Amino acid sequence: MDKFLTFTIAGLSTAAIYAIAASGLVVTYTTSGIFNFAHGAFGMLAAFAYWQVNQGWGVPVVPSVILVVFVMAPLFGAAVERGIMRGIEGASEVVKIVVTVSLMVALLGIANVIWPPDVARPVPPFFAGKTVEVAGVAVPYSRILTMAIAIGVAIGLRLVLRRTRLGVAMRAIVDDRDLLRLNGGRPGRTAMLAWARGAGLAAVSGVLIASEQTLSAITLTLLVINAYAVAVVGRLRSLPGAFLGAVILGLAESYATGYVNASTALGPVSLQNIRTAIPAVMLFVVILVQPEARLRAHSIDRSRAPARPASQSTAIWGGIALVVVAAAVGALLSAPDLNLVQKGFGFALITLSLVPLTGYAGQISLAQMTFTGIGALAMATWGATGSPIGVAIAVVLCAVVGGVVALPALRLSGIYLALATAAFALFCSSMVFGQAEIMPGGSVQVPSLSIGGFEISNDYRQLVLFAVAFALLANLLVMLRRNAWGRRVTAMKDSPVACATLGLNLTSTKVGVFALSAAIAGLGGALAGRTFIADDFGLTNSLPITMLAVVGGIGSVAGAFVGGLLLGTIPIASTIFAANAIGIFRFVSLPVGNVLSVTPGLMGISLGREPDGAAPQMAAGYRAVGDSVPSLAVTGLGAVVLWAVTKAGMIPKWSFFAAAVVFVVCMVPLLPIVFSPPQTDGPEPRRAAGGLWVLLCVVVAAVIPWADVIASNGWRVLGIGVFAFLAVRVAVGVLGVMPEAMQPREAPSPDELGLDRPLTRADALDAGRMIGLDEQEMPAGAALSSTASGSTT
Amino acid sequence: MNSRSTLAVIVVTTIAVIAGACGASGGSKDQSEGGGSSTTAKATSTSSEWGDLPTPCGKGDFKVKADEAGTGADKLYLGVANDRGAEIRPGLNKELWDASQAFAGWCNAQGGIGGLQIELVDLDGKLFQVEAAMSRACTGVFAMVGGGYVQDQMEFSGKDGSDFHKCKLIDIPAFAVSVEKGMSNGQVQPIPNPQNKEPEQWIMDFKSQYPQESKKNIAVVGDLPALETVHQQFNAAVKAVGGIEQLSPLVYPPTGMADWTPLAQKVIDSGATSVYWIGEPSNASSLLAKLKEQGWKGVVLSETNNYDPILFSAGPAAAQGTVLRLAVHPLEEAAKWPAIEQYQKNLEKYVPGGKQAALGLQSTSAWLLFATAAKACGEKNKGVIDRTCVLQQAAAQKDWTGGGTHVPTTPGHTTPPECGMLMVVKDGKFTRLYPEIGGKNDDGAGFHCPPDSIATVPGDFKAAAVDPSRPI
Repeated sequence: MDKFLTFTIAGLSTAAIYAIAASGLVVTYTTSGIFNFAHGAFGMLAAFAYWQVNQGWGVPVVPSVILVVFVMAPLFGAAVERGIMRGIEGASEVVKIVVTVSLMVALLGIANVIWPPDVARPVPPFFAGKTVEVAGVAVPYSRILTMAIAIGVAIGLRLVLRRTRLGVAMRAIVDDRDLLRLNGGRPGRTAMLAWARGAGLAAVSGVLIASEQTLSAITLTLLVINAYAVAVVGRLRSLPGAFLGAVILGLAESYATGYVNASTALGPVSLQNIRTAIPAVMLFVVILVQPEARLRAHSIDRSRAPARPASQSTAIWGGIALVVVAAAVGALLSAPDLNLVQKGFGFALITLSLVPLTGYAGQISLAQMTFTGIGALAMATWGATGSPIGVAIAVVLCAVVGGVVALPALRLSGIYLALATAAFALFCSSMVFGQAEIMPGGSVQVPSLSIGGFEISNDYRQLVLFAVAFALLANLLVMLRRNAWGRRVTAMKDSPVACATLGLNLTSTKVGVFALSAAIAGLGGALAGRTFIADDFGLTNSLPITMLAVVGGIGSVAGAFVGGLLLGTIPIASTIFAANAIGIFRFVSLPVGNVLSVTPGLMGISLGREPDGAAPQMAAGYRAVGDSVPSLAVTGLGAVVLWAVTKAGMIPKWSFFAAAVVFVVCMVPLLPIVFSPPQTDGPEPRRAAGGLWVLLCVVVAAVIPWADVIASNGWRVLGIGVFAFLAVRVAVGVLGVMPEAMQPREAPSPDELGLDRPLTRADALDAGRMIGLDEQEMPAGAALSSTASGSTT
Repeated sequence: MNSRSTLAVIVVTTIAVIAGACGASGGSKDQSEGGGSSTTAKATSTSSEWGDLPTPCGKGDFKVKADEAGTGADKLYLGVANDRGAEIRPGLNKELWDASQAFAGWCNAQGGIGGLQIELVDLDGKLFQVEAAMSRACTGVFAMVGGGYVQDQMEFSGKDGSDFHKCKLIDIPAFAVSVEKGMSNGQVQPIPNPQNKEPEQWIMDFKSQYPQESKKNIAVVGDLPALETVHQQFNAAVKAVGGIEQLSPLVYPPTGMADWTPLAQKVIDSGATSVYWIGEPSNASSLLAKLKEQGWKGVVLSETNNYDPILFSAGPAAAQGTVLRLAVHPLEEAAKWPAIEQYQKNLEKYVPGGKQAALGLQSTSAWLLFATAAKACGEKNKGVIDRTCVLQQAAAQKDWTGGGTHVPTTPGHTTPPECGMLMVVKDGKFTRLYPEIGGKNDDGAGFHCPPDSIATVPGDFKAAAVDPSRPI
């Protein structure tokens, strides 16, 4: 009985912490519609801040708690709302998720920089760990305090929401934001207050956990992931539901620790790891019993990438160019850089798997690395000799698993789908990749592919293999996107209810997309030809994949490539800058490498401003090149010349880098103007002068011995950047014409056409083009009138 | 990318230290050897020796075998494997790099090895970029010395430009973690720690020091396959020693728990009077605090990775009485052991603010072993140093103590050393528990060396990355 009582009290105490954390999640979600994945990171930061104030600066306990919980955390929460979250109001669910995930990653990086983890930071327990005897069980006062705080939070929130004007306003936002505004309410201010309160609650849970155990950034951040499951019990909106969920999870974890033995087994499956998997299982089960989400009739969200899908010929030529460039650049790289770039291409394959799923179909997955892991394991098991049969089995297996996982997810959308896939990832981490029988020693070596005796035995071949695989798959995806299936998928994204009304089968479409996506991710694992550790396949590694895919621009295959390459090449950048740790390149005494480690997070956050990702912006600048044959020819010729002189050792690597940068950012985008046909209206560009100038800039960049002129890597990169920037500015001046891509351009989303002014025929044609209709698919006369309107994309 | 916030990996770091620091102790038998003298000798190490080891460094006209020289034959280009650039764990095992820099500074000041200056090549694997670091090693270094990766199975990528064996590299590491690395060839560990063997000394001594508490033991293991290997080694040693009842082991999530009380309660309910802990010191301190809170009076035994101030994260009182094993001389007793004192002084001189830790000592021993072997090679082969010769000379060392840094070992052997000692936490400090210096079972250097006390761990260990075509 003692034992039962102890476990119950411990469980309730854990439940109290979960309940406080979950109510913070609920408060922010209901008022802003944003599920804050960074909630745990807020709590973690607060715990460190408390340590800093209390232990570091020696402020007594009570003022420290007040300072952290009632001043610092709410200010931080309000700042986050004002600075980041307000920007993504109305954005798609994917962008919302990615922004909060990025925030989590960035905060983890920042905490590691401010409080290096190699020092012990004891947070003394409240009441100095004193206990009181309750029915023969020693119960610490701190535990009673925790439960009392939870009850206080419950009552307090109830009163605030029901009895105060602010609470009414908060509930009004949930019901109808626009109506509230019409009635003179200020949703923005209310949301800010809600975020402040949410951060305060996160701080309470963080400080309580930290006082119960040790201060560790990652542990603190991830423990609160358990609160996701708790919040879902209340459908992310109900506080009593969240409290109920907290009690269930707290007790379940406590009893599982108490009563499940290592020897307990369910058939062949050891239940030893069940304790770890409980939050995932609970999350999954709760989501399954959720009532079906209503089909959305419409949504105007800004993430609808207006970029037209690439044409097949663009995809083919792009694929060939990718393989050629990969082969050429790969031959120039040093061995360690080659390895990193090769891995970046591998990641690009995995981010590519999100293009059909997220980009085309608008579904979310936070479990891509899990599928990669399944593919890797399948390859190691059935393709031990590197045989392509192993790859085939891996792909099929992943497709099947992906389809099966999709089945329960069919009914879900948005945040629930994201959480369901997160649960799947967590579950596999502990019950599949965490099993010693499946991954002995916690790692798996994926054999290198061997095709008819030709073995992918080094990084260079691996790089080319990835490039070829990416090019083929990207072409496949473009093909799918442009045929009936692709239109059905995008239609489902735009308006599920319309699709259903038209009699389209949403079920098979969704399952198909999931299976395709899982198969591509699995292929990424099967082809990797390297050693993975179990943790590579965890949720914490799937999050950056999704994040960078969206940063790159999820709507297009090019975006996936940018995202994947970012994953692979950031380590290179941090290697280049690492040498600057002591030099001038110090930023508030932070080595540049550390700053780079938070870069991906910051890039993700910047999505709040540019929800379409980087690739469409970049693509716009280079699209014109594809339409101009002389420009293409010069681009290709220039690339070959640059490569050849470098390969021949005529110019050093750094000069190649500088020349390549100037070539890519200055020369290539301006070529279409240089070679443009005579203008019918507007000023004629000074073609010869402009062309000579950009050529001169590239040559100068290639001739300057950068490595000798500037000793420090960091300053050298900066110098090259400045040189390229000046080159392009002057070039534009010389030409006298601003290229279209550089002009600020307001491209209205097709959804919004006709809302602000009468819809013209040109608008309709433009809109048709934006959603990917070919010329022949448009009403007659399209080509003619669009040329006349002069607004070709 | 950096954001990979891999918790579990963190825990794998545990193993690095466990595996590394602990194996220790070796062919002790009659330990009258150097150790005895060093106990008293307060010979403040001049630069002509390291502890009781005559310096392997000095002037000369050695050359590196041309096709094995790495970056160039003008110097000895030596790579140091480490993970200190890991974004999720900045400074991870930084002591390896610090110790290597300090040693290189000391050795180069005397003229290098046979006149060849040591040029360190930083092989920072950042936890996840081991393959990239190995590709730097492949063409850039003569040998890898004094380092180690937490995920050292990644050294065997199977690819031409980065695989340890395909690059024909050699390694004298500070430690090895995985079965792949720990039982591979092409390397000589100064303190061998193959995963299929386990010294019994520390179990014996634990039993003799805590005859009551040790009777019922429960293992508390982090839920990670890699930690399970360490658990198996422990089990083998306990079975060989006998007389200890092993209760059904407990498992915890290595990422931590919101509340450690249920686990503590489980330990208490099992009736265990002692706990064997496998995992990170921060988690250990959380459990220890809860065990104390619930009034448990038993003893916790743990691996060398908990020889870390992080163990006091939940306050010094929680860690009171925790026992751990060491195979190096404790840093706390630097005044007694010239080699330890020299390590500290040298570190202060060449790497001000450098990190002192058990792995730093193991790294230093690896460097001394390499330098000694390289010197012997050069003298034997008319001044030419080559990889195979260096490994063979290193493996030929007997009763190797790294100048009195650690227990005597036989580096070339596939068995761990038999010697070791136990430390205990007292009032927030690590202090010697057994053997007492000059007391019973002291081998003269503060270690206990029971003869023929190596247990064999069952299992097939096929994962070992052995290249049969290599001579050693």
